[in-house]
Amino acid sequence: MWDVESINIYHCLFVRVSKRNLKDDKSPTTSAFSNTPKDDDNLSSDWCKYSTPHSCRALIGKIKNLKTKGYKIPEDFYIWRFNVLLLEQLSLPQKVEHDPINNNPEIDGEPNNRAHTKIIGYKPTDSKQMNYAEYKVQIKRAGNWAIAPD
Amino acid sequence: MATGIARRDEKIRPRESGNFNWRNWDITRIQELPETPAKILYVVSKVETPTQIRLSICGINYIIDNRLSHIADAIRKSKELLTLKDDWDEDGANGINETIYVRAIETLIRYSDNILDTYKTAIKAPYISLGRDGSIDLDWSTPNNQLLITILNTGNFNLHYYGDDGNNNTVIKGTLEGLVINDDLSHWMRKL
Repeated sequence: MWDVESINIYHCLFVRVSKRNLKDDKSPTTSAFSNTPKDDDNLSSDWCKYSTPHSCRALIGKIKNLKTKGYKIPEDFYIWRFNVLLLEQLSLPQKVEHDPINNNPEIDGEPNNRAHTKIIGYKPTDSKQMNYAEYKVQIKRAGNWAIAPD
Repeated sequence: MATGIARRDEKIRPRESGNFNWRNWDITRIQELPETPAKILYVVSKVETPTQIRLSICGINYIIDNRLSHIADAIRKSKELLTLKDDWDEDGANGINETIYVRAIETLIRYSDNILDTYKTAIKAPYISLGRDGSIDLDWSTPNNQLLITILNTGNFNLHYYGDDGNNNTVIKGTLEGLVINDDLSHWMRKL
């Protein structure tokens, strides 16, 4: 069992970006950092304390593709690096919460992951609370590529 | 020289009225276009007849000034989005909702046309993309300015916009619940 830890604001988080969420210039689309799953309240990431961009990408290969029933292909994803401090300083601040995944036995298609961290912070359809467009623009600026498309 | 469209379910605003600039516009023809007789009731154009581009999107015809040909190209390219079904990102995404797509395209056409008419400026074409939740983004990123218009995947028209100059010196943001032109947004968009 892994303890939930406090995340240092000077650390970074790695987020996977599907090749389907790339613009023609190979930058992420403005929707690349929406919630995963889409109906949840957070975006999944991996904390740099227990992960690297390459291990984050490799782990994708152990996640089930619900459509094909096979595993996802790591090369179909690139890795974006978020700075925790910048995330928390956004005009629509995000809450970062360590959320290690540790099942015993490990679930096929849902790999254990000590680095797993939630980026929590918005409800896109609640227009009275937050501006979804502002969120999308601001969150993209809080990071850059760790593993960029060729 | 600009042209525009009006849908049967909308009222044509009086010339002296509020936000949308209908000055110098005349209804020169009222016709049912043969391709979509059920959906288009009339085409509104200026007295002069400019070179026009006709676009057909989801059975609706749009007439666009040829100075906005790059906008028409972006719209044509965005038709690829109409092929995206549920789970298109293999991560549980919503497929395209045609109603939301049409709202996005009409928003783009109306604002680009209004800015051309009001400020004599042809704005750049945005990057048009589909979000996981079925929202559609119109994304303008220029060296000096960024504007994002998100049309939410909701029953009622629900549009969020945010723009700045990169240094947060000039910020515009808000929400809209209808297709009537917002003059402040239109004024800001002329910089794109």
